[in-house]
Amino acid sequence: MSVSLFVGSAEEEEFRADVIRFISEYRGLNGFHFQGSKWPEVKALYRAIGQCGWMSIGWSDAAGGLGRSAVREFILWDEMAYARVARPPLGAGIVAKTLIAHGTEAQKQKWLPPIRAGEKFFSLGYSEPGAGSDLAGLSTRADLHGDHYVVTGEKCWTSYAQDSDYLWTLVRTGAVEDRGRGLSLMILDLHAPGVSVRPLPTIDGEQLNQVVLDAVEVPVEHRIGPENAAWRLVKDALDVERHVQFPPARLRRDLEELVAWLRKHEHELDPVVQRTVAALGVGVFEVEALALLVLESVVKGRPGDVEAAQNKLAHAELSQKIARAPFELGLSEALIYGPIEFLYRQSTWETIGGGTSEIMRSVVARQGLGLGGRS
Amino acid sequence: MSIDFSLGEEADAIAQTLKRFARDQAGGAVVPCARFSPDLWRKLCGLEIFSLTGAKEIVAVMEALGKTNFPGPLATTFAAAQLFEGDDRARIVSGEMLVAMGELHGDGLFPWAAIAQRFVWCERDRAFAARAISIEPVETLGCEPWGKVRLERESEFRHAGRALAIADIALGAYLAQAGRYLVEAASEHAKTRTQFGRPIGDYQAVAHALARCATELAAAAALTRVAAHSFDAERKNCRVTSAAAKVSAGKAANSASQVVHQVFGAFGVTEEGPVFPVARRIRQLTLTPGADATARAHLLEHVGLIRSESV
Ligand SMILES: Cc1cc2nc3c(=O)[nH]c(=O)nc-3n(C[C@H](O)[C@H](O)[C@H](O)COP(=O)(O)OP(=O)(O)OC[C@H]3O[C@@H](n4cnc5c(N)ncnc54)[C@H](O)[C@@H]3O)c2cc1C
Repeated sequence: MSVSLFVGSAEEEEFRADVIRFISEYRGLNGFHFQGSKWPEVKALYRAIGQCGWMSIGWSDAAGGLGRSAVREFILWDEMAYARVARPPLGAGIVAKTLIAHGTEAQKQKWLPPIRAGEKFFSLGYSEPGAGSDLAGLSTRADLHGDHYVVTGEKCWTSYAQDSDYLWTLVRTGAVEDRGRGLSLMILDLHAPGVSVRPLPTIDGEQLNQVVLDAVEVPVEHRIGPENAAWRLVKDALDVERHVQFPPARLRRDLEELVAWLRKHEHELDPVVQRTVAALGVGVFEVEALALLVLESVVKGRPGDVEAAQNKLAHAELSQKIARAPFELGLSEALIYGPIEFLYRQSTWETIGGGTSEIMRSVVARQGLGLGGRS
Repeated sequence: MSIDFSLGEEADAIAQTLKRFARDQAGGAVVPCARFSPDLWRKLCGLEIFSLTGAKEIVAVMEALGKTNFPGPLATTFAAAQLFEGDDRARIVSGEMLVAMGELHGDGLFPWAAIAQRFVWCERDRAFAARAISIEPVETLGCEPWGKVRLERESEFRHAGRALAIADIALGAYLAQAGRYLVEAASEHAKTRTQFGRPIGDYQAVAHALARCATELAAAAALTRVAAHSFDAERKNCRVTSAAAKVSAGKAANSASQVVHQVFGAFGVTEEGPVFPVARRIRQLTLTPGADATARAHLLEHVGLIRSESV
């Protein structure tokens, strides 16, 4: 069990105990880091989560969920992260919550039940070769032809597209000059004619994907929300999902693995090692505290852009500090293939995926401090 | 050293040959971090670089190889060429025989142990020929064939201090240029990659980070050349300057790797990307067992915090 700073109500802690019991059957899976290579097992796990009703734990009753607060979602995915078994799937989070808030009845009928059951999976199709940090500059076009759009363009760095059923994708329906105001949100079938998915192997041994869209037909009824109104929807979706995106217990687990490794190699009595580990321990508390600020903002329905950016920034940087510590301490055994060497490679992308640290600092500077912005 | 950081015409000519060689072999700007290739190694040795004994020429070679991410026990082989004599030396410099050299600590992790034919066991500034009693190969971040070993000492080498100094200088030269290669590649990317309507290099978050790396690497490269001049002039401070050069280059190259990963965004964390093959090698080269402690001892002695007996 993770030693979280957060202690919930008696019911919430009972729920945590249920989650931990559930997870015990999946220990050793490590779908958190290896979802791609462990997909059949991770898929089975998601289905089991669906059977418990936990995929939809935070959805409203009306939407077929359990109607629980964001705290339960936080506990669920924080414990999953601590056990390294799985990450929160995009479908049950951003996709479902956007559908619940902005989708038509037909859209809810079509997609919510299989998401809730852990049977259909989505990838996030936002980034493009020309639009990474600057998402509003994306150029994949969707042109309306009668009852369907024809979508042409290229998405890249798309996590899990090799196994997913759908792409939750941002496309340009308006003019390029309109930037964010010319974008629409669509659900695109990844098995439709004109879609090709190419792996982009990553340095952690997993893969991202390039998704080429060549005149892919997307029915109009797969557009979510009004045309050219995606920007607001994308932001709203982040607001209700940010408390589960960077689970702090992942870092506590990283630190525990580092400590076990240091003990195994008999470095625990070295005063420099001790000083470093103590500082990392404080860092873990700090990130947990920041994650709780984010959770508070979601629970209370307050704007939390700055809190979310601070949390993402601190989380990503601490993951690298923990993974790099043995290397910075000059401990050569860290080079040998194993958990520390893996974390070193994996954490390299934490300051890039999900928004870079530079962009997070810009958000804190601009929105938190009223300062200049991007430079 | 007088105020002259140049390495001399002969060294410059060697550098040009090496640059051409490395690029021809790699078929691109840098050698990908593939497994060690004995064939490539012998071709490199065919250029007779390991017969060089002047530190300035060795720096020229290593700077050129560092820029192209060239694999192999390069610094070790330069040092071994100073330690071994006769037939062994001839076989080492020709690439027929590979040397593993390092300190022995903890669980016996030893660079290049998995494929070496000769072992040099170092203890601060002493070096011993050694025989391997057991070798357990291990896979490593930088793809170098290291191993966990048990060694038995045989004879002690003479002049080990100078050989170890040349290894440090060689490594410093390699690392500073490997880091420089990354920073130049990232600067090119930052000039051409546009986000929010401007090249990302216009943003100070990007430009300043690269400028900091360039400064650290410039210091390391200059210090390496100072150490080389010191070595060639047989100055007393050569051992400490060579240790300082290696530490400085390692620190600068590792921090350049991190910044450059960041500048390339997601592309930088793909296997196709230009950063990781170089970054992983830099990490590996800066983590040879015991090297840190030995360099630190030289530096602490030099600044007077510890005396030589207490090391
Ligand atoms: C592991 C991983 C998984 C991912 N999964 C997905 C996914 O599933 N779906 C998806 O759509 N995307 C995904 N991404 C893409 C991710 O969102 C982008 O990588 C990220 O937004 C950065 O874009 P970029 O890589 O194009 O870098 P760029 O935007 O080109 O940035 C390059 C560098 O320039 C800096 N920079 C850019 N603009 C500024 C500025 N204004 N001020 C200061 N610095 C600036 C950046 O901080 C960075 O250091 C993933 C990325 C990774 C690494």
